[in-house]
Amino acid sequence: MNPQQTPQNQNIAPQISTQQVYNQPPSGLPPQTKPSKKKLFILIGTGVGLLGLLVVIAVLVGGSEKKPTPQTATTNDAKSELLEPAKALDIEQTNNAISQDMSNLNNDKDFPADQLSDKALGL
Amino acid sequence: MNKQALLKNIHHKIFGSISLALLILIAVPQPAAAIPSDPPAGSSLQQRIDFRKNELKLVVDPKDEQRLKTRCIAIQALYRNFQQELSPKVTNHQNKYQSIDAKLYLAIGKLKLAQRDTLELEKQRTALAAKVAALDIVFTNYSQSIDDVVVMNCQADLIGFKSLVQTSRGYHDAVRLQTSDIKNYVVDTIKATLAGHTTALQPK
Repeated sequence: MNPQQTPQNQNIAPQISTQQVYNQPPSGLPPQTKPSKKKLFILIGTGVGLLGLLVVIAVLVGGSEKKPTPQTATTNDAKSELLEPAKALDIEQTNNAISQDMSNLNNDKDFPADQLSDKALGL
Repeated sequence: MNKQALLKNIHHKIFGSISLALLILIAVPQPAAAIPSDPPAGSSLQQRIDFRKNELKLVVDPKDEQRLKTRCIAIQALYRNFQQELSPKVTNHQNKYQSIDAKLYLAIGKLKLAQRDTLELEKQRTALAAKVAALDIVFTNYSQSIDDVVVMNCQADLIGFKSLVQTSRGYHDAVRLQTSDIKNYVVDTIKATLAGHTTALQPK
C-alpha cells in the first residue's frame, strides 16, 4: 500500500505547491497593491464628501446672510416712521382716516332691523 | 304750612329721583340681555337643536303646524341668502376694526415720542379691542345659527326649527347692538380723545 500511496502523494504534492506559488505575491511588486487602491478610493470619497459638505455650508451661510438684509431694512423703515414725534396734522389725519373707516360700515344696511321679523320671513 | 310745603318738596324730589333712575335704566342699552347663551362647544346640529328647544321652551300651535310645515322650506331658502351675504359683511367689519386698531397703535407711538400722555387713549384702544373680540364671538354664533336653520330638517321638527329661528334673531339683535356700540364708542370717545391731542399739539 505504501508504494502505491507514495506516487499519488507525489502527484498531489506538486499541485499544492503550485497553488501556493500562485497565491504568493510576485516578488517584484509591492505586496499592498489592493489595500492601497482601497485607501485611494476612501481618500477620494472623503475628499468629495468634504467638498460637498463645504458647498452645503457655504450655501447655508450665504442664504442666512442674505435674508436679514431686507428685514433690517424694513425694521429700520418702521423705526424711522415710529421715531417721528406726532404733529397735530398727523393725529388729525389719523382721526379723519378712522372716520373714513367708520363711514364705510353701514350697520343698518348690513344688519337691517326687520331682516328676520315675522313679516320678512312670512310667518 | 311750611311743614307741608317741605314734605311736598321732599316728595317731589324723591319722585323725580326715582323717575330719573328708571329713565336711565330704560334708556341705557344692555347688549348682554339680548345675546342667547353660547351653544355647547363642539356640539352637533342635533345637540344644538335640543339645547335651544330646552332653553326657549317654545310651542307650536296645532293650528299653525301645517302652515309652518309648508312655510319652513321657503324660510330656509331666505336663510340660505342671508348665509351667503353674511360672510363678506362680517369680514368687512373685522377688517375695518383691525385697521382702526392699527392706526391707534401708530398714533399712540407717535404721541409718546411727542411727550404726550397716552394712558387714556391706550385704555380706549384696549376697550375697543375687547368690544371687537366680543362681537367676533357673536358673529361666529350668529353665523352658526343661520347655518343650522338652513341644514336642519324643518318639517320633521317644527319646534326645533322655531327655536333656531328665534336664536338667530337673538344673535341678529346682538350684532346690531354691538356694532352700533362700537361705532358710538369710536366716534364719541376715541375720536374725541384724538381731537384733544390734535388741539394740544397745535403750534402756539
